[in-house]
Amino acid sequence: VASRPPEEHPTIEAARRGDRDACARLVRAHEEIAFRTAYLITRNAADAEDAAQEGFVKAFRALGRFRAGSPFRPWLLTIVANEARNRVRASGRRDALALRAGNEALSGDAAPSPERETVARAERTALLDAVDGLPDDQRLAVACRFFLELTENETAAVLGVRPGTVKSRVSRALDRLREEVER
Amino acid sequence: VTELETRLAGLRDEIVFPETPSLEVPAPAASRRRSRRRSLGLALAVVVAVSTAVLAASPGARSALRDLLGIGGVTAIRVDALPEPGAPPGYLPGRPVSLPVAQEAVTFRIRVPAAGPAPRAVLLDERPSGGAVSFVWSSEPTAIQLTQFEGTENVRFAEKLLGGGTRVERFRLDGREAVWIEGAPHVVRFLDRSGTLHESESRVAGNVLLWRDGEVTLRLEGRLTRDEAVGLARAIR
Repeated sequence: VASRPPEEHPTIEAARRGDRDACARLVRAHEEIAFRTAYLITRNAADAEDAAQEGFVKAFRALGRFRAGSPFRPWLLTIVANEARNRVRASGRRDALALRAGNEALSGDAAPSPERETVARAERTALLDAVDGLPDDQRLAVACRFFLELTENETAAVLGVRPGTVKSRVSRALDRLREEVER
Repeated sequence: VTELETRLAGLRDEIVFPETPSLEVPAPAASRRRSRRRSLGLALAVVVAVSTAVLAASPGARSALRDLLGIGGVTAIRVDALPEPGAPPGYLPGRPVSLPVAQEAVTFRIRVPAAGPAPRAVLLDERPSGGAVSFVWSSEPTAIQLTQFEGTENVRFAEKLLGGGTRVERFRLDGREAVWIEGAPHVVRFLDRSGTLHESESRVAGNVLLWRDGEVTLRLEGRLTRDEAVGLARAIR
């Protein structure tokens, strides 16, 4: 999902005026990315839901301060990520990211041989484990950019850093991952 | 794009995220309803509209919301730390005009004090929806000032940020909704009709009485006790 198209601006304006349908459209359009962003930070579904919900509450409350014409998603994600970070400290359990079960793997051209599929799967798991093993700041940057397909600016909003910092974190992470998985 | 980046992007469709829950749709700033679960935590910034003062809040949230309220176009918000004000105490937005000019420019009937000295200045601020008019009785920053504007839950005029030492009391002033804010100074910030906050005009405020008279919200500020403020408010019709 690329950054929001300009046609979202009338919806934001309507929401700002108190139009509940417009508010609902905004929630439906962004709840998945909000929830997943929060989940990458909390690694706990209940905390992520809580953070995403509270993020929307706070974002809507502050809609009056939202700069007209600017993109909604990074602004929302900034708020959601803050909520998520506040919940990390409070909760103990953290889920590891997991891959889908084998036979649900990507539909591709011809079905690969079972051996090849097993190898490919092992490689994917190793790569995901390597991402999970990155230092926190790098892991989140990589996850936002590649797993959520956030732009550099959106990732910067989530991390609360400048876009240039995202670039350097991702670059450091890639160097590290290359060493890990190509060993 | 390197091979590694392609492989990373390829993981996206295979990662199992928990199912995205269907989130509640919060009301926008004006008429709000609390989300389920948990209190708001420490950094509270809650907007509550008087007309929707019955809060459909979870039990946990109710205690956090109790002393936060709004009246007409003004919302009172409890915060951890007050922001730095951008304007000096006593600052009021608007340009000096005569009362007839002000009346011509705003959408509501300007309420005037029935007795007492005439205001020293009338300030007209045309940025808020419907306009806003302030009366000032002296040039001192702590002088009494009265501001009125057309304020409903959908038209926000100002935000008041309250720290811990500021008390808020809601009551009825001759049957009209009223709020008395006193104690530690708070910060007031003004919004224009697009809802944009003008931080540079934020300033520290002292004791304030807010009340509604029909479609108009009135705000009386100055070095006043609650009884004095109420007495003055009664004479403004």
